Amino acid sequence: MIQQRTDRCYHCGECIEPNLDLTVVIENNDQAMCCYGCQAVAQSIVDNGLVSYYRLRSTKGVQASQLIPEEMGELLAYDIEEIQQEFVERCNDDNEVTLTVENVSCAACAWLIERKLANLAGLKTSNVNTTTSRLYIVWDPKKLKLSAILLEIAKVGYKAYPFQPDIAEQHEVSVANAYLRKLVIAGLATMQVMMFAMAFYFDVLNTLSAGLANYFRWISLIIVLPVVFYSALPFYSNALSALAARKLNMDVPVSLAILLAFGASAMATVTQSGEVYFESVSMFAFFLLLGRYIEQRAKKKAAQTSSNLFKLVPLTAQQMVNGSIKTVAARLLQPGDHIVIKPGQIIAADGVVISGQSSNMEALLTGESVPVKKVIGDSVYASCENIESPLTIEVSCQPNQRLISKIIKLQEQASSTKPKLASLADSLSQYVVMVILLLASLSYIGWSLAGNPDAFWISLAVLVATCPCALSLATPSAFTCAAAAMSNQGLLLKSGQTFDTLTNVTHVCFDKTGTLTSGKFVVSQIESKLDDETVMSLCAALESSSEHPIANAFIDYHNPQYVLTNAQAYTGGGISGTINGTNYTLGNAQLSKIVDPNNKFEDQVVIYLTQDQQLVATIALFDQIRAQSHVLIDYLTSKNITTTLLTGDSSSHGDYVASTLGMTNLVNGQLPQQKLAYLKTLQQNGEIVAMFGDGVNDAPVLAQAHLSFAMGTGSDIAKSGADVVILHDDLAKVTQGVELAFRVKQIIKQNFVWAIGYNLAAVPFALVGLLPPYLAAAGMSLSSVIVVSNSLRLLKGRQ
Amino acid sequence: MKILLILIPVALLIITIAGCFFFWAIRTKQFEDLDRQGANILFDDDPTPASKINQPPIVTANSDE
Repeated sequence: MIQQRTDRCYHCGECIEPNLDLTVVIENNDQAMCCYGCQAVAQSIVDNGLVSYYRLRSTKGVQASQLIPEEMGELLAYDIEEIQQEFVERCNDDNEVTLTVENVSCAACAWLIERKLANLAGLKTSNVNTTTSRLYIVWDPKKLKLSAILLEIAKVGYKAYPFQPDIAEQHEVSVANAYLRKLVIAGLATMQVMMFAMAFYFDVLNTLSAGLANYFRWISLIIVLPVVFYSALPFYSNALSALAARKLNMDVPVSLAILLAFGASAMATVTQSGEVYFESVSMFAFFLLLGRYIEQRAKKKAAQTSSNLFKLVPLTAQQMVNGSIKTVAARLLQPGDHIVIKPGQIIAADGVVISGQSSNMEALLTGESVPVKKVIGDSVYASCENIESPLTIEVSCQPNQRLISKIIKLQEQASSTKPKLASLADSLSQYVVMVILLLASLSYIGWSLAGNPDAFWISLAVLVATCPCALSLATPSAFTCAAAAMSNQGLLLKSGQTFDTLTNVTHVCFDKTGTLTSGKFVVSQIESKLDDETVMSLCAALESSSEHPIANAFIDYHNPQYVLTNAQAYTGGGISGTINGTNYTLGNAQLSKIVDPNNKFEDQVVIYLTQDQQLVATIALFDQIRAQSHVLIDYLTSKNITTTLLTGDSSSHGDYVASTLGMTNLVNGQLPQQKLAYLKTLQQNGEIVAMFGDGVNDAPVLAQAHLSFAMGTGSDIAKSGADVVILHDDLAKVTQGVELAFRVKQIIKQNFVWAIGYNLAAVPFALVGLLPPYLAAAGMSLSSVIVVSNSLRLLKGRQ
Repeated sequence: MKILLILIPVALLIITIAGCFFFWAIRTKQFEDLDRQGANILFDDDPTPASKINQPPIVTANSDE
């Protein structure tokens, strides 16, 4: 049974170009492939006997791309000893490392990678975790190189790389594990104690002998001990820290209820008089812990996902040592060292150019979308890209004195002064807790004065019944569900507070280059006697040898009829060459010797195409505004939210972007410090400010803003300081995020109404002594279930 | 009912052991990836898979195809 050729790739599901005929024999059928990358990957899977992958996978693979030589070179850099020190752990003679793997989606992917790696000699352990998208490997460095392992993974179509674990991650993971341990203990104990409690509940005929009853009580006491003195510990410590800050939180009445009920029951057991409520104590602790654990697990997941974004790119430098070039780790560079930076490479250190001339893309540091020309004596900065030709620089400062390090310092300072808005739940629970404590003590005093011997138990029932367990679940459960819904849309949330803030934002600031614009040049207008197609093809031919960002604008127009010879690049000027016997020059006014530059396109970059000194075409280019930017700005304007373009670029492109998008304010030419100062002024005027950015220069402002969004393709520093990461750079998704935030607010309000309503209804029964603590605890649990189910509605789409 | 005097402490001992197992499972990270292990049994972990490639599929009653 030969399967019919379909027009979709068997490996990745992409459409196949009509005239492409690539197939791989999988389980005796010819399966069509969409590209050479997928073909290579599929063939590799088949050749290694791993076809089970295709049978058992739950999603299609990712379109595979063959590794380009630069990427191979990057992989080799991972073998350098000094680079490995940053992320590889040594264990006896073996090396171990945890890598993050892109696009691991199901058990089949995990199996495929593990099986593929199993063939490598020298690999001791490999384990793929599909929940966190991580691969843990142990290997013998004498027999195997790390780059060989990474290459092997690339052969089956996955990209693995070391990452910088988020500082928060380790903490969130250990807290989640601690809650899980405490939850397990509370759960096991609750089951056991409940069993003995049943003996009392159903002992209506009083057939239980006094001795046996006493025995059950002692056993229950022993079982509950670990719950009270181990599982419930987080409640006590939270309550104490709140009290130390002269505040009340939900954990205060929770701790009181647990300790008082346990103390009194223990006393009753010892003195063999009165009732015991051990089962209520452990059930209460169990349900509260369950809520906390679920919340913590969501936090852990968010921390892990955000760590996976911090790709640890091996920062190497080509150092000149005695006339020869050596690859070294960038962090070991000392002032005075000479390094060579090839076109297309990222500069590894701050320094001064000592030979060569080129232009550098400094958009990440300054926000300027046009590359800056660098000649001998100019300063260059770490993390910027060198574009046109090789540069040799002399390193001028220690790694911690670099411009980028200074910006990181500014970011750290800003994040410590970030204003915090009190959440709705926090401020509300203050009062609720106060009322609960008052009611419980009043009922005790009242019933004692009335001479009721059960006064203590009644007040305890009040404490348990009113204890806003459901209330304390109201916000975290809603946030957890909403965060999951957001991440499905490509918005990665780092804290639950985001939703609260999102509905209150009054002012939104945007960075320009890379955020509202794509950071890529496109041709906006052509003025020429020739037709546009010809002009574009000529430009494409001229720019084919160039790495300049402007060259990308023509890349789609490449025409094999035009053959470029004698190409010569002029740094910061343009390019010239011979096409089919005619000399052409493409460049700025100065290079093209245009005496009367065209001023019509004042907001744009203008280049001229000349043929033997005669002007052929005037081409205007600009950094294109993303289509989604319009959607987002229009949406914010419709919500009466002020929008400001806060950019480091001082050119007139800022005016163009702000006026095209219809933004309220424009503040341009700002250094990172000035951006920060501007934002602080807004905050002092009582505005709730959100900031969108992507560059290193945005990092301090992002850290200072009430709420910050970083683009997924932005710099790591920007992402680490942001509350939300926009994974696919789709700004339009933010409008859905805002809508979701309003729904979250609604759900939280519903939860509150229910939880408070339940408490209010139960209080009178508890007050008059009609509600024994175990019923109060059961009712409380039911109320929590309802609240959680209500929150789960957020996981579904709109109706 | 005297048997309870022995059986309940035995039950306590068993849940203590169960608790220890849970702690061990958490410490060895068995709760880290709950999605994957369930599907693991479906993959044939043939240690020498390469030998199978060029052979025609053998159709037998207990074939896993």
